[in-house]
Amino acid sequence: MAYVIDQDRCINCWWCRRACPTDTIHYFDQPNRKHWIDPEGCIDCDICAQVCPMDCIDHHPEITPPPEKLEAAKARARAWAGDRRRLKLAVRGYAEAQVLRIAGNGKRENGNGAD
Amino acid sequence: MSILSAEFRGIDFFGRFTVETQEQYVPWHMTLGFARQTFDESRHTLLNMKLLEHLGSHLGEYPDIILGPQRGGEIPEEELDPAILLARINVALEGFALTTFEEIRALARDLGEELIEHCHDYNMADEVTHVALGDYWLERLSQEQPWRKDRARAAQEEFEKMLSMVREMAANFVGATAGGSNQNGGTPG
Ligand code: SF4
Ligand code: SF4
Ligand SMILES: [Fe+2]
Ligand SMILES: [Fe+2]
Repeated sequence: MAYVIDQDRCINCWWCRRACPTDTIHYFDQPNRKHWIDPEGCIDCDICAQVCPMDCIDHHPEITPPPEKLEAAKARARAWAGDRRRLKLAVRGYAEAQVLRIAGNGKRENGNGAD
Repeated sequence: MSILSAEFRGIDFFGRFTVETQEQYVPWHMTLGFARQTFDESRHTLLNMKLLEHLGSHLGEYPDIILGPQRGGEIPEEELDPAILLARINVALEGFALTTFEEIRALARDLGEELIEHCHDYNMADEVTHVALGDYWLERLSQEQPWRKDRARAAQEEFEKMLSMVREMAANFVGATAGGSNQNGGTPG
């Protein structure tokens, strides 16, 4: 099983390539200057198909990559997911700290004015 | 605010691109396409100015905060090849902007900011057209000149690396390592 890009409709926006958790979407090494999914790294996560603005990525159940390649790809995806979670928490923590800082400043200004 | 700054620069860049590329004898319908894109960028600017007001701010309250290197002095002649400019700006930069708009759209949805969500959805649809326009003309302009296509591709690759680096710097700034991100600017977020 793997996903396949319809290259006639692809506009090379590189969104799928940025989003792919296993890094299996290629562009710069492609002689026809089009995005291409290397099926050996595709774990069928569907992320690329969901982000593609041209709706030109489809699931092809008949393609079967070797199991050992799939295991390696899944390990890459797990590392990616862990990192994604850490970043989300860090962004949230940073945003909350900023809100508290701004709210704190406002309180001091108001307090100074009232006293 | 940084998106508003980018939209202002978009008007400047595509206005100049539309006019200046005519000196290089590009097809007239390419000129029309980029005149339309300049018009789109003006609309995006207006849209973001109004959004800023919607959030209780106004133009000028914050500084222009576009990240990235600023070019000074002479730009080498070959870098003004429209194929290179299309590869860098339309395909790489505007392609990258799709992720940014989607993230803002998702955040706005979580916060219940319907207007911001709606405007970014609208803006994103234009960006898809801009990527497609750039990709189409990059291919057309260089189809008889493989060296030109290769040169544009190399410029795009270098530009993508710079964009990915800026994104990684932002991730590091908020205290997260981007070690598990993929090699294609896909810093998790
Ligand atoms: S389905 Fe998942 S693993 Fe396969 S190419 Fe798309 S994003 Fe990558
Ligand atoms: S997301 Fe879709 S249009 Fe964009 S590069 Fe991937 S396949 Fe092509
Ligand atoms: Fe724009
Ligand atoms: Fe644009």
